Amino acid sequence: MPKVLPAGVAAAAFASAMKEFQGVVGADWVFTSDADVDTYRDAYSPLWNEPNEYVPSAAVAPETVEQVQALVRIANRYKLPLYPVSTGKNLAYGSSAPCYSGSVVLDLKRMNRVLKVDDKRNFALVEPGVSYFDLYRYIQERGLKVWIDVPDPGWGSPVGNALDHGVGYTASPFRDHFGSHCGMEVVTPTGEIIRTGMGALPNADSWQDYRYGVGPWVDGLFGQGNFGIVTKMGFWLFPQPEAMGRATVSVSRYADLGPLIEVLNYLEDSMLMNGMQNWSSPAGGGVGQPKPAEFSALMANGWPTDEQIEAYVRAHGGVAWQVRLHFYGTEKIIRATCECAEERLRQAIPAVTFELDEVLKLPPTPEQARTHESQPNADHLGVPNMITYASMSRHPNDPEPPQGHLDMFCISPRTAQGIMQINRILYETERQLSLPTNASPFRVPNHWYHRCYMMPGMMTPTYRDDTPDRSTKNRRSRQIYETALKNLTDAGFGLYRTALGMQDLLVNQYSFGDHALLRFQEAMKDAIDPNGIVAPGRYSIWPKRLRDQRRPNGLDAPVAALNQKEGGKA
Amino acid sequence: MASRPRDPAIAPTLIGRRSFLQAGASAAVMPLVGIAHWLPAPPAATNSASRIQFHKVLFDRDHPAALAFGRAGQAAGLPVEPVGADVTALWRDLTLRWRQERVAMAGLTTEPVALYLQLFAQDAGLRLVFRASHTPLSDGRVRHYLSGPRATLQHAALLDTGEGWPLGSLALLCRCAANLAAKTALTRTSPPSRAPAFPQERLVSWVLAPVARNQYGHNI
Repeated sequence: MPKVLPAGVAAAAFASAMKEFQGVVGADWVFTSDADVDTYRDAYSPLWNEPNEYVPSAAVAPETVEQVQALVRIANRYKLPLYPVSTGKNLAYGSSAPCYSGSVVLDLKRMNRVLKVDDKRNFALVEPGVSYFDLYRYIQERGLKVWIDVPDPGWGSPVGNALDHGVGYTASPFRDHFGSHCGMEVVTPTGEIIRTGMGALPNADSWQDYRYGVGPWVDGLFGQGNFGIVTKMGFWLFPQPEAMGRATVSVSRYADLGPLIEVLNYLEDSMLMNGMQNWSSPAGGGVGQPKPAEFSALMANGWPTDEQIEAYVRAHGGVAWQVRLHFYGTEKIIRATCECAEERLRQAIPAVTFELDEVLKLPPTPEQARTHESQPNADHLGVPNMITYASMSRHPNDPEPPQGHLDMFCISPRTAQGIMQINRILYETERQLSLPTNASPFRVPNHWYHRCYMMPGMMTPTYRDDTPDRSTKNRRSRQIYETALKNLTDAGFGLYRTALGMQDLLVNQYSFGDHALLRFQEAMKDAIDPNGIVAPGRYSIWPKRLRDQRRPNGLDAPVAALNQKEGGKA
Repeated sequence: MASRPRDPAIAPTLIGRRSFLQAGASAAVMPLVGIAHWLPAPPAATNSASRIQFHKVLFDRDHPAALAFGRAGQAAGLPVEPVGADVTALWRDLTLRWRQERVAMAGLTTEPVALYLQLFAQDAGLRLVFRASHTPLSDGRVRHYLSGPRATLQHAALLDTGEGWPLGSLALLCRCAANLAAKTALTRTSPPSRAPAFPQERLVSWVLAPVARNQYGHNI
């Protein structure tokens, strides 16, 4: 018997459903033993081994879309929730664990076919089980002249990552993985197959060329949603550029941040600069790196004034902000664009330093490839890797280090004010929670999405069984994460996605018009998925029969209705 | 036990001269000479048909305890290999290998590396059959939290050797069977080390192995 069954599904009915599942996919591909089902747990869960940890009842792994249809029809008969995952390795956001305990994980890893890669029209069509490593290898083995854009987890799936609104590192249109998709095939909650965009037109050869087709464009419903199971997805690819340029811009004053961002916005929005910005603050030091004693002094009496910060910068190397810019194109264009960028920057900030560090001709030589593929540059060259994970692998001074973490990134407009406001909120949150000061006036944004910044929030640690006081620590982790989430969203800085278990809380903050958006989504859910079998609870979209499962005020707060009192902010 | 020629991978040029010397210093007080005595006899000499043959035995290339583990593994003829924090290359290698055959792996690594490899391995149909975390305590002792087959954990006293626990850990891995049915857990604490203290960093020893489905079957 599974550890937990979904509401309304009796043990006998569950067993019967599993037998029917076996009839569809074969006995080898229905997983019900503890040893197998445990592989679908969230290793970073802040509820690890606690009664309310999100765990599945079973898993089933289809190989074809027809099998997915058949499984969905069976699930409808038993009202048995299915939770689709692609490669299921989205650590820090829930991995393979479902939003609703007792759901059966619909593991799509066996659907791992690269259906098409076209390096004349520059697109790919893949199934959900294809990983970035797989797609990269497919392209390399055939010598195709296109790049993929990769996120931090090279073991992830382009389909899964895009559907979770994941991001990457190359040129701006491609870093937005959902934004650069074109065309989907979806099994609906009632078991039909739909194809979006031009895929709906029989005989059309433009499914991966024109995304809208005619009528309302529904693809957005399937991102962070539960309106269907995506079984194929097209992606626009980056034609292999001739060169990549990297330039470093440095400014001396803390107050230069605003003018610097304004020029970068111009360069980016006018499409002169198509690569990513990598920000740092040499004076402020890196996140998580030891800070000099003077830094503690700077923060000792509350948030420092601008004058104090400027003095600190002058005393610590005199470079307040630094941003490494990336340019893709031909060498001539890159060099000309850099000249233009430098001129613009100098007009705005006369003391700016602009250095063109490198123009790397592509494809790289084997020697360059070895160098670049083993460094963070791999991301900017579209080479899948696990390098970011390596940065989390060592804890030389902590005998009981965290065993996981919950990711938190919030959306900021591309302004100095937004960045500074978020840093200040994080600082106040640390004081509110009596945490050591980690926030700083020098924390810098990430530039994955090209029309906004994503600021790191509280990367909250989690623990598993071999930490003696794990439950206490995890409870504290939940408190930290939830407090930071609320403080940021109260000020209008929303997270772009969130960890498993925190989705109700996050969605509850998006409350305009008394949660009109969520009510609209729920109305659609009830119409499209009347039995509520596809991923109930994902991003707080609960089917009618399970709406009492919503935890809009946090995992340790009593279950309650949406926060009506604070809702309706306009 | 899989055997292969002594692997020059455990060479100063690959694992770093400084680390290698540190490992030598630590291992000097360990019963390395007697490692063969610690390890179980080769499969041919036992009736342990279910004993696991390892494709690779990984060890963290920077931690002195893991280096001692690697040296002992090499001395025992195991297919040892150093691993750093970035598992990208290992992933590429294992993905291709596991597509041909579900080969078992073991190691003493940092905890994140152990987890990433576990997640890789699960996709190939392997399972974590043994795991032990080794947490240094402030008084010099090391706390071991073990989870694995009951028959393997019966030998947990192999860890009660102060600074010799990496060898004890290796010996436990070599006694591990791919048996999920009789899994249990226990905590054990090694006495304080007389050797220079290991870094205050938790390591994990682990075994990933293919498990016959009919061993744990379907429970419906």
